[in-house]
Amino acid sequence: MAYAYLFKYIIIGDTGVGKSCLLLQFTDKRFQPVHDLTIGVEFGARMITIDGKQIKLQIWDTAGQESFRSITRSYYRGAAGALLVYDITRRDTFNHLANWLKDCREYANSNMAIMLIGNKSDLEARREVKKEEGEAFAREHGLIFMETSAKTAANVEEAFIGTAKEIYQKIQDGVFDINNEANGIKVGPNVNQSSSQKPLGSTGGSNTNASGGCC
Amino acid sequence: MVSIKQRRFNFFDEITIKDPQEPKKNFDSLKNLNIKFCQSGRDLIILGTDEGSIVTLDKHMGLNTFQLFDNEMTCLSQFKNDNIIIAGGHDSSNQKIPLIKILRLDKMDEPNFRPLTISLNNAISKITALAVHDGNNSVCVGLSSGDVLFYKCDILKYKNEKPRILYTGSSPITGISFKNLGRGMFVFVSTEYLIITITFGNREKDEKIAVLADDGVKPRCWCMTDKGELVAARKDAVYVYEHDGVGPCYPFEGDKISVHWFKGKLVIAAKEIQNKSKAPMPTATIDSTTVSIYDVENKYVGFSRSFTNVLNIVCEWSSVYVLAGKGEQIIQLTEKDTQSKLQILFKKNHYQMAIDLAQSSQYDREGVIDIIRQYADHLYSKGDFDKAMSQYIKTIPFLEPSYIIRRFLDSQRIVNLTEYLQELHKQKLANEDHTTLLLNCYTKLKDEQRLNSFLVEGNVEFDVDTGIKVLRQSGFYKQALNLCKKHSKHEDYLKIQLENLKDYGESLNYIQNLDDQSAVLNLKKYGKLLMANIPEKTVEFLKNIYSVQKFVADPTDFLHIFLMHSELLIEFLEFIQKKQINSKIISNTLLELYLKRVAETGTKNKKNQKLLIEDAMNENILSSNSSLSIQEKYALEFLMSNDTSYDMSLALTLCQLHQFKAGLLYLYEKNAMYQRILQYHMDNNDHISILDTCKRYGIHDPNLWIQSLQYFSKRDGYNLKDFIMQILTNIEKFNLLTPLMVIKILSQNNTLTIDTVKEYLLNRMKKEEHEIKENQDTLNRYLKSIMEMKTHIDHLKTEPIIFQANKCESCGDELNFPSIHCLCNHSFHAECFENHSVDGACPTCAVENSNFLNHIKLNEESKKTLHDGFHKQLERSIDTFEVIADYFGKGLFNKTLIVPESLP
Repeated sequence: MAYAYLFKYIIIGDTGVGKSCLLLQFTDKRFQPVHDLTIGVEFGARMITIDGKQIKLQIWDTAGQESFRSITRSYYRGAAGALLVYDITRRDTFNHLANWLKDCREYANSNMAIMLIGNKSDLEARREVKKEEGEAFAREHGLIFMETSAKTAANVEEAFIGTAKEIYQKIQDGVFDINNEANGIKVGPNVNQSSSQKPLGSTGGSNTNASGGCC
Repeated sequence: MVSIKQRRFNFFDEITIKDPQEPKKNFDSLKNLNIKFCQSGRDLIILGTDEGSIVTLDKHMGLNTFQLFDNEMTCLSQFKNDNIIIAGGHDSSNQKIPLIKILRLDKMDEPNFRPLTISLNNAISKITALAVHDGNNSVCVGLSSGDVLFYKCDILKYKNEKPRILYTGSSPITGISFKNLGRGMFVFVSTEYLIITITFGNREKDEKIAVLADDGVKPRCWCMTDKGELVAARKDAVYVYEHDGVGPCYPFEGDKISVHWFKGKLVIAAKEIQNKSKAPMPTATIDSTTVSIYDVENKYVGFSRSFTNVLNIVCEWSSVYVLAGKGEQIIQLTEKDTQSKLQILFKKNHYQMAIDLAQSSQYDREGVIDIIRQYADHLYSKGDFDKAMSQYIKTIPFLEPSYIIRRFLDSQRIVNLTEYLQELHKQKLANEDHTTLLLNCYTKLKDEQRLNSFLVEGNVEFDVDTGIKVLRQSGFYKQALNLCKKHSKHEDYLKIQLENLKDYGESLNYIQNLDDQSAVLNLKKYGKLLMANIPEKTVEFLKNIYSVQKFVADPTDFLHIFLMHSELLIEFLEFIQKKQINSKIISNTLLELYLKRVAETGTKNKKNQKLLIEDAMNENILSSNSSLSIQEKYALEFLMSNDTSYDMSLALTLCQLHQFKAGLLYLYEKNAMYQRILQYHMDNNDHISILDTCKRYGIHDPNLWIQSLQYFSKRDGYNLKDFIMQILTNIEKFNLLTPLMVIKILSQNNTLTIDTVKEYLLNRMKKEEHEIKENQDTLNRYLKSIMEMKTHIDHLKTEPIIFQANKCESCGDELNFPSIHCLCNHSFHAECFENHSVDGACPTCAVENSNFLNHIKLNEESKKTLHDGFHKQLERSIDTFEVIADYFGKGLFNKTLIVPESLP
């Protein structure tokens, strides 16, 4: 499917905060209570619409475990947005946010849109981190904040789309250089479609010759 | 080297290939060849040696060798669609000039066959990578200098075309691969430090070079997946690149030797990372390599084992061949069949994986379901009911529901059971029992929200009756009501509303909204309850029914519901009557109700009662009813109204029962039961009334007087003189009793004085005296005339008769002859006589005589019937004596007949 922009996201945060579940909820609209530990980096994609434009979100779901940290770091660079996730029922995941943010600042594009997400908001009874604390942290570091529940799908859509809007706004403001793919943004193929069509016909060889000119 | 987090199984069978000639010996023909490159395809394993020879192996380990280069081979690649290999290397003739040689494998055995050779004259470096596009008309050559050359021609028909430089890098090219993308084509080019993509445009200048990753890949440590992704195996992990960027990554540590794509799995050969802090390895010469096979889709390691001195790995004939022990050993790794894999997974309780595996290997649905069931059973036995249920749900509709339901009947697992039943219903597979159970679950869980959504959801089918029953039993009335409403179960609706909720107003509203037929039906059934609680409204509603339609139902059918509400029943019945629906039962009931009411209030004011009776006697009941209670007035009015059709005898009974005197008297009067009226007053010792009664009805029934006389005669100690005297007057008037009898009756009373009867007796005696006198006179007169007649007869017998008449009796003229004289002293002209006389009798006396004769004759004739006539007359007559006397005079009692003497 044609898209106007492709945004690359990365989801980071401590192990077990629900990164993979957030992604599954966003891409497949389902919740898997039992999820294997993510090993390495997994991958998901979904189309959204912002401002009447089709935008493809390509999302890297990273492993939260410390041992995969080096692998994960290599993914920062090509991401336009990041969802920094902690678990509202586990304070230590909140405490580690600073470390994650440090990694972001170090390895990622400085313009990367980062959204702070307090996940598992359905488990209000077991809450350890107050919403105000999350808000305060976000304010302090210039992040967007949201509490979500991958289980009930509350705010999940908003989190992903909100980040996309932020990136989109940055493009409109000229903050992002959309021609540098290392920023994690790609302009859709339909933009320069007319120029890329013809060479196929001429270089495609005997197999593609016949079909080359017909559209 | 494999990350500990990944699941590991042994899904591959390991076989060491034996020498086909000597089955006991391992196949070791490759041991002395310095094998560097491996390719496979078209039923052959193609090996390239460092020295430049090509070795092919067929399935039966048949060996074939061809010396392609006589010095060195630096790279080996293969055409995708043809059995052709393309290789880079040097010939000893000129070691400086890199050569590309293209060899048709099927022509390898031909004695004079020469491979096609292209020499890269102006290059000084080695050829390190080669890629041929599917269409055979593009070839990319990677050089150790970092240049990528591009031949845009059919390489098989090479005619000295010059390549152009596509890319100039700084480090040796480690891999090149073509990929089609939509309508375009591009190549992945990798060095040890960089991976780039080169997208071809329609002109040279449209070519775009993009850096895909700023980390490269070693030679042989990359491969292409089925989907055309580039797999790059680095020290820390295996990364997958798509054309536009990095994709997922799989962490595998170790120095990778090679990586291969084998039917959706990655085959990774890596040297273990030596822990440097440890003591130096005792056997440094042993080169240990781990071969792992990783299932990308299902995320498990399907095989992992260390081999020594691994030369290379090649995939062909659905197996992975590991060239180990420097070529002394070839180990064939064959994937186990799905069944065996599943067995392994079952043993380790990796059911989820087994399911994924079964699904990805195209297991039939029932097979998968069976695995799911095993998984669920396993979870169940572990006590993880939530998960077990989520698996059981997946077995719908293959697995028999009862199997599952039975396991979850325990009340602690009701949540799971609910889930399952819900799913059953969603898939329209539930039967009646399931519905019952589900509703029971909901109610037990008090999960009203889900219950509601279940009931509201239109697409869920279930037995409504059961549903209502269950809901009602468990107290979810609201839901039950909605259900009833939805399915028009009026009766159930009302039952719940009335018996459980006791919301009578709502019930009535509901009935009102029903069609007439069902409204009436339900009202009959539940009216009593409604009446007991909201009587006014109920009556109002009943009236409404009848005001709209007259003949909806027999009003009497509703009578029972008015039990204990007689006031309202009256109201209702009056209404009905106004509507002209007349029925005896209604009238009777209404009457009964009136009387009851009268009886209730009447006991309080007995005084009024008396007045009332008097009024009733005066027929002024309605005008002067100030003394009547309203209820009595009503009742009486009702009795008197003409359009009521109550049953008379019943009405009488009722009046008597309720001692409603006014009514009773009215009814007596209406039915001419004067005796009863009299008796009534007598019972009440109401003397005046007795007398009044006699006065009023004495004309109709004189016996009343006698009775009242008898009554009074028995009353002692009262001043009854006036009454008795009045009665006697009347007795006298009607001549009812002989004075003797009167005396006899009155003599029973001890207190009556003769004074009372004096006047009566005097009157009677005077009268009788007078009568006697009269009779005497008559007697005398009769005797006298008898005497006269006797003398007349004597005279006729003995003396002559002189006719002295001179006028004719008939015409009055002068008598003249001839004339006729009769003995009765009548004379006629003979002419006149003849004209008038019949049978020669005197015409003047003839009429009288013949009458007399006729009378006698008649008497004689009617002798036989005389008896009856006499009795009849006797009965009818007031003065019987006169009749008897009369008959006596006529000779009825004579034994012999007096025959009168006939006239001459």
